[in-house]
Amino acid sequence: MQGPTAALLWEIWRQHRSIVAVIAGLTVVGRLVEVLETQGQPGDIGSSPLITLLGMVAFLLLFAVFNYTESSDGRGVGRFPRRLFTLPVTSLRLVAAPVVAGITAIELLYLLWMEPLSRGGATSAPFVAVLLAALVVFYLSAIWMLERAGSLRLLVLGVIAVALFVVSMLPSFPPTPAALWRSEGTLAGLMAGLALIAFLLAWRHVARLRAGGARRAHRAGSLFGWIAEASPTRRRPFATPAAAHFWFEWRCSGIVLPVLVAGVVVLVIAPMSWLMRRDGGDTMRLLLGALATPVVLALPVGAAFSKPRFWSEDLAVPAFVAVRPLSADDLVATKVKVAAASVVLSWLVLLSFVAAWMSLWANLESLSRLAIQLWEFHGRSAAAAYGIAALVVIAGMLLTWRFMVSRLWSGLSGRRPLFMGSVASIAVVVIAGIAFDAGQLPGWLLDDPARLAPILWIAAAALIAKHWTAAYAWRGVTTRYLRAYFIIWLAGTTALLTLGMVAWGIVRIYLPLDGDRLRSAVILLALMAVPLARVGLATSGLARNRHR
Amino acid sequence: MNAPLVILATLLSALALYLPTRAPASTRVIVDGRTVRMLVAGRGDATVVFENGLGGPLEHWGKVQPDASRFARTVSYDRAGVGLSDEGPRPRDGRRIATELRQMLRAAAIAPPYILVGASLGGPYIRVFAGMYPDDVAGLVLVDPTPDSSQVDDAAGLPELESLSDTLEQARASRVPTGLPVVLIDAVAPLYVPFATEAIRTLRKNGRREIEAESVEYAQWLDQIPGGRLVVTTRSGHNVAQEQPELVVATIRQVVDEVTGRSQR
Repeated sequence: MQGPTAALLWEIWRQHRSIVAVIAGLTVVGRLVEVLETQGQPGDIGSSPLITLLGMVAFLLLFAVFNYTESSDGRGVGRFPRRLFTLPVTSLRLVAAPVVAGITAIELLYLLWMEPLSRGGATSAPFVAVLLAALVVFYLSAIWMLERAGSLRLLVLGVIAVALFVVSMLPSFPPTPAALWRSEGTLAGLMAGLALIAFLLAWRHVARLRAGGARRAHRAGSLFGWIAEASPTRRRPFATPAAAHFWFEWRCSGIVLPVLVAGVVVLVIAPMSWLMRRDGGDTMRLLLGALATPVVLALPVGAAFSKPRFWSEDLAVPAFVAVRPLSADDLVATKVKVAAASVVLSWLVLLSFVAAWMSLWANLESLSRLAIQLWEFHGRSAAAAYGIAALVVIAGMLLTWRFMVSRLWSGLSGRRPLFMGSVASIAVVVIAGIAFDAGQLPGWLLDDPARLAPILWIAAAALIAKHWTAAYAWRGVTTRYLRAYFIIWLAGTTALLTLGMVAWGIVRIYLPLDGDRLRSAVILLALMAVPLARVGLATSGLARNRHR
Repeated sequence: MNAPLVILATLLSALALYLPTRAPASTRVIVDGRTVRMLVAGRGDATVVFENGLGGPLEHWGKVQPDASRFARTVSYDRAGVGLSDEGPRPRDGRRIATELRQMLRAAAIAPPYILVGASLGGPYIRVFAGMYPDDVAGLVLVDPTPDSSQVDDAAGLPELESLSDTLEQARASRVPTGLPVVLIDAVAPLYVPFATEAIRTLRKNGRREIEAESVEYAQWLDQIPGGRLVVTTRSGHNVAQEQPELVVATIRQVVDEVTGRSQR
């Protein structure tokens, strides 16, 4: 080895060469697909969903290559590799080598993907290159400096990625050309400056760790602990063990979704609502995005929530929970209630913002036109229009809650393959949706409405399977819980059916689809939306996992 | 197995097996080598044919046709290039559409005479049909039809709008056969504004003026038709078939009774 820096880089290569090979393979496939797709198509066409998907995966894998950490003390939490502290190199070099290598790698990858990914976009390539370099620096700095935050770093990284995405969009927001403060040059300089500061902080952090004095450096990591301590603390004794466990679950996992929704509202939706306040169409689109936020966030949060411990990859029931004087039914019921409380708080946060936005700075033109149509469709009754709005919110809350509790059956079972398969199914659906451009599904159905028939039969088979599984899964659950949950299921299903019928009544006028079949599809989907079998299975799964 | 959930699963299984078996109601006929989608329903001495407004599929009559089918044979269809019907030759003016409608009805073995019901742009189309084939028509119901004075600033690439001035000219030139029952539904409910922006308030103000002008024009046209009747509704806007389907059904019923000679209840 010619020098310590080369040795550091060689180690990265040795550990991740298989991932690098996959990235290279994805890049080659992506370019080949691009050549095949653009053959004979003149002009500037946008990149296909498949190419975009391949590019996204390649970039995500690059971040896996430069996840420059080691596992500490069996906690499963990565941190800056301590073994490197004994090398005869400065701390600056220890920190700079992976950072510079990461920036170089991502710029090279961007160079290869720049043409297909930036086609049709308004953002210039040099600006994107600066943002990607900054992202690498923020990424490494965050995972090194916030090691005490554990898995919570994923949320921080998510927020950083979303923030940089918003920054990349700022120059193209109307009015254009952009003001100086949001021009590409200014923002690139700002991001480069912030990246430099992040790098210096990371360097100082590693140097302190190396010198054995990292107390101050732990401050950032303990910030999350401080937030947990600062949140309301209960002093009075709990009336029942179930109430105590509810409080425990809420503090451990229930609060995450509301915090995330609040974060997205403050960091993304609120600034965008201000920047896009002139156009009524943008208001409508952003409102739809805002209403979808809790539902979308509930997918990953629900996956973590369904485990016995939110922040741990271990699926075993912790001893602290296992010895509680509560049955498996009680523990699952607590999870279900915490999920409900979490969803209600998340939606309250969102609706509070939406109420302020709509009344203070939103352009209501498109919304007003939509309201006029609703008025006309439902006897010009204000009560009907507000009722539909309320149903939309209730349906949103139900779907959010569904995604929070729908994986309890696999997460609480303690069986890793089952849980991973269950979580992977979400990713498969999302990736398949992107790859096959799910947005074209309505058009595909409209081309030949007969295609709705097999879909209806599949939905019917799924409904039958789900409800017979439910009859089996709830066999051992106490009647009290069955009665209570059945009322929830019935109320939720009724609300979704009502909204589905209202939507069908409006949509069927415009779609040349057989009205009866469309209504059948809506009914079948509504009857499957609120989970029944899964919650019943969670109880038996947890009972087995608890006594292992 | 949990007994109450077994009962629920049984009931829902029966429902799940029933729902997909509901057969599609619409049919296809081939006219001049082109597919036209139509929906024929009901039985009766009279045949009611629905003509849509601009761009709407036959589902536009979804709240009217089932009720009208209780006392008459009813036919709705997708015009060429609309819904699931194939594109038709241009220009898409009233005469072309009337010709294609007649061909379709003949191809589907639906014998005249017909009571024609036209909404919006369908109004001028059925007037042209009545002028071209007076022996095939037994009555006309015009549901807030497009007025003869309408103009289009931007046809937005829609073939029927591109031919609108020709269609309206053809409608003006069409004579309504003598003694034919003709009813025109004039919807005058103003645009309701739940939370108005300035643009919507302006739209509402202009809309009110347009509605008043249309009412005058409808009345003048009906004055030329012996026995022509005007039904004014203040409970509906332009989409009467969605907002007040019971009014459309009742009006059709009156015309059907008149045509078939049955006394009204």
